[in-house]
Amino acid sequence: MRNYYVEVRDLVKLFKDPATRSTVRAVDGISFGVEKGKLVTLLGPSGCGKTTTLRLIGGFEIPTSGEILIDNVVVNDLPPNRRPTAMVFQSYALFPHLNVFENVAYGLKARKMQRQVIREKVMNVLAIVGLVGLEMRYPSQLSGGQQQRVALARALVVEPKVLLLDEPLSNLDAKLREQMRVELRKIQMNLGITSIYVTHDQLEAMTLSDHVIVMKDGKIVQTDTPEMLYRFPANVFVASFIGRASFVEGRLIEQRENECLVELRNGKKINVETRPGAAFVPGQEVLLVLRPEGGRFVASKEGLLSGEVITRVYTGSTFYFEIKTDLGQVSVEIHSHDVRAVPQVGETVGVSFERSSMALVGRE
Amino acid sequence: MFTKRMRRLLNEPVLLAMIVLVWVLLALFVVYPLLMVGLKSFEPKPGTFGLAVYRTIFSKRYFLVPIFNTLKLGVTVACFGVLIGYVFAYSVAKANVPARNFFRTVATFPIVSPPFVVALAAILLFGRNGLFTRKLFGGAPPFEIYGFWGLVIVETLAYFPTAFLTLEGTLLSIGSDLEEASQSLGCSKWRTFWRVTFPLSLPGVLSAWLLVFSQSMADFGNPLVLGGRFHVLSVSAYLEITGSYRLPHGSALAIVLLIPTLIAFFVQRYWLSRKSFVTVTGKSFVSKAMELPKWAKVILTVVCLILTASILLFYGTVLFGSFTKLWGVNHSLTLDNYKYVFNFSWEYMKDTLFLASIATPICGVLGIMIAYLVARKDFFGRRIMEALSLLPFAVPGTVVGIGYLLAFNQEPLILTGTALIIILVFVFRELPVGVQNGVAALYQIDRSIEEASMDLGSNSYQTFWKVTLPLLMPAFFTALFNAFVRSMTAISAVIFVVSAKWNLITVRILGAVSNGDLAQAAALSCVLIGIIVVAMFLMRFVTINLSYQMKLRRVER
Repeated sequence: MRNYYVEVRDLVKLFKDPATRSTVRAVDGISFGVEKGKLVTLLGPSGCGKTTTLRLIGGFEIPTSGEILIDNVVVNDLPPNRRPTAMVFQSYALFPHLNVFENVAYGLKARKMQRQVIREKVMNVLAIVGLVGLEMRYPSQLSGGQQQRVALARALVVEPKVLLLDEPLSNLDAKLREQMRVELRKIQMNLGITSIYVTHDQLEAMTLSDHVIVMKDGKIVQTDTPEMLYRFPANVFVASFIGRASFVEGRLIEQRENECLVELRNGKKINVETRPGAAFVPGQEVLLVLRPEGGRFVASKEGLLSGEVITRVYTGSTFYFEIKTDLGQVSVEIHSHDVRAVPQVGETVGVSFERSSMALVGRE
Repeated sequence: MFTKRMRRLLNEPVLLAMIVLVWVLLALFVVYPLLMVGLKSFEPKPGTFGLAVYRTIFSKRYFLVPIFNTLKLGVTVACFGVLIGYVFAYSVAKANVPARNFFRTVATFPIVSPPFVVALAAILLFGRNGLFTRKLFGGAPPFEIYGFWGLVIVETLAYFPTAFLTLEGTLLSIGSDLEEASQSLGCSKWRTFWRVTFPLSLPGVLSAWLLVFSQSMADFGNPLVLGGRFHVLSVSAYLEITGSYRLPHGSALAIVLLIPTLIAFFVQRYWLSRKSFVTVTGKSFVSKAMELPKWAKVILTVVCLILTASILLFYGTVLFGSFTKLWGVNHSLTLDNYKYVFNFSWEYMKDTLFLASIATPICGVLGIMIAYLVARKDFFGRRIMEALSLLPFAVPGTVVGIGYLLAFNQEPLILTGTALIIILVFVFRELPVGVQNGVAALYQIDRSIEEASMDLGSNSYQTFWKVTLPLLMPAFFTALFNAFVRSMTAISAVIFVVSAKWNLITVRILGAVSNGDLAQAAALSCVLIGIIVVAMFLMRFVTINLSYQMKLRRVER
């Protein structure tokens, strides 16, 4: 077994819903680990239990059962202030009565550090997040992006063993969010700080993380690196949640070491790459996952599928198509710089997909 | 700019008429009486003007003592009231103590009950023939209930609910994420309270302090009943005018009383409100109760229990007292007092109900009208109109009473002795609640909702009736309820304008207390409280059935 820095074992959190008086299984027996210095993202739709998991790790909720270990110490019974964690809140939760310096120094003062040391550490961390010169400002005088940086600096400065981030970028506008995403990842890698990140934005999860944990209804659906998640989704939910995908029904004919032969309803057979050790059995009904960005147009008889173009959208860098085929609707996206002919709406086309843009999932 | 606005107004004659009407009413019934008090205080003898009255007041011990007493009482009550109110508010809003709703309900008793009921209870318990004085202390109480400390106890109990409600709002608006952030950064709960929660609630603390201070300064009923030889300004001014008939001296005392309460009001309203750290971001957040250590929770619960127990004890005593033959001597139960109420005091009750019932709808409609003008229309002097309509909040009832007495006792408007003058006092005393609630409600209603209505083809009057007014209903009902209850229990202002023909139940109760008919006074108070309770249920019924918010809530379920 690997040596994890943060480890969660069979974690369960039940809530009583006061309105219906029923029990909600917010976190339903999950286990995972985070290696030292890595950033792991909890990803899932709202209500999947990702924020509750983070709050359990931070100590703001008490688990119904299960264990949380940080650096091989069980922290279940420690209050938030005695855990080696620091949280960046979705709302930032900056203290409105304290200025930037005081906000950042807050945790150091709580640790009774010397004035000179506090000053040094605060200025250091402000330099890291790029806020030098704004020490005397109050949170209300800062822009959203600056507030975000203060929140991050405040959590970083106490040098936590684990940094917890609860949808920290969700209050920023799109452009700034992209910028902060890159910056956040840079800071995290430079400091080598173990981080757990919660988001519902799959793009954010993909670009930031070493590992992504996809959650649904309080359970973990898949844990993997971003590449593996995209390339080999565990089921339909993951395939459609991570990136875009069209699905085509088929039957598995033969399983080899790293690929499977699948027969589609239109009689065509195709080899699809699978993850080593994937649990498929010959004869099984499957869904072929087709990533639009791997699609290309061919003569209508040569393609894997053929059908009529019903939608064409120009986005600048790409053309996006929806094609109505005999096996269902399929999306294709091609670069607008592609010199080959771009079909019109109403045209009948053949469609093929790159080997690396296809995957298999079981039909549920 | 100005002419453009005027021209736009002239195009809407109904609106213009409304604005003019409001200005006339405010000038006549808010400003004019106050001016008369000020004027009178500079008129030592009819026809001659000068500072003679103030010279007397600030040099004679007889007048200086009440000034000093009032301030001392106000400061003491404000400090105690805020301290208790804070503990109570923290327990209810942040500490997750058991039976929070129960504590909350009991704490609001003193707000809706007649103001001097607590004083009456204090006399029943600690007075010369008091239950505790006789049974517990054997006739020799360890302290004198008539005087400073008696008033401190009674006013603290009567006015800490104001502090409690103010501070509860403040504490609830402090997001629990801030407290969690503090803990996440390594601070214990104790430290978190002192470093985050408390500093953030400071504007609320100051606000509550000033509110309680003003209430204590303006209090008339309690000091009249319990003051004994401890004179305060409101009572002194009253005695100057009704006892010695020295109108200028009474007026001057009223002005001296008015100045600190006005300052407190403006500091609280226009300075502190801006000081607040808490900003409404429009983002909804849940204020989760922090799990406190067991011992802290036990202490808070015990404090709340002691407080609610004493409130219940005071009110229970009045209820019990209303059924006794002769308090302190013969405690056998009887219905005689209630018979007495229905035989001899029924006229007072009927008059009070009648006058309050007329004043209530007028007050509600006028309040909402002013709120609408102030929040939605653009005209010259809008801010001044708002300030003037809120002014009665700040003016002690005694000052208003003297003002009405002076202003409407002479040409051009002679109203003394009529029912109208009492109704006017009721309407303009309680106007601010309607205006304030209305303005707050209107600011919450996005203008685009009304614009959408206009966009879909309704004119501005249809929009008002079909869109704005339904949204304003809850604020309107609150204003009505407040106006009714406070009119039923009013004493400080109306005591100057009642007459033999039109008299009020509260004045009757005060009379009974000063005659020593404590059991009758208790019975009268209980009947009055009964009427208020009925009104409360009616109000709930109306709100539930007529406001769209409640309908929505029911649909959602």
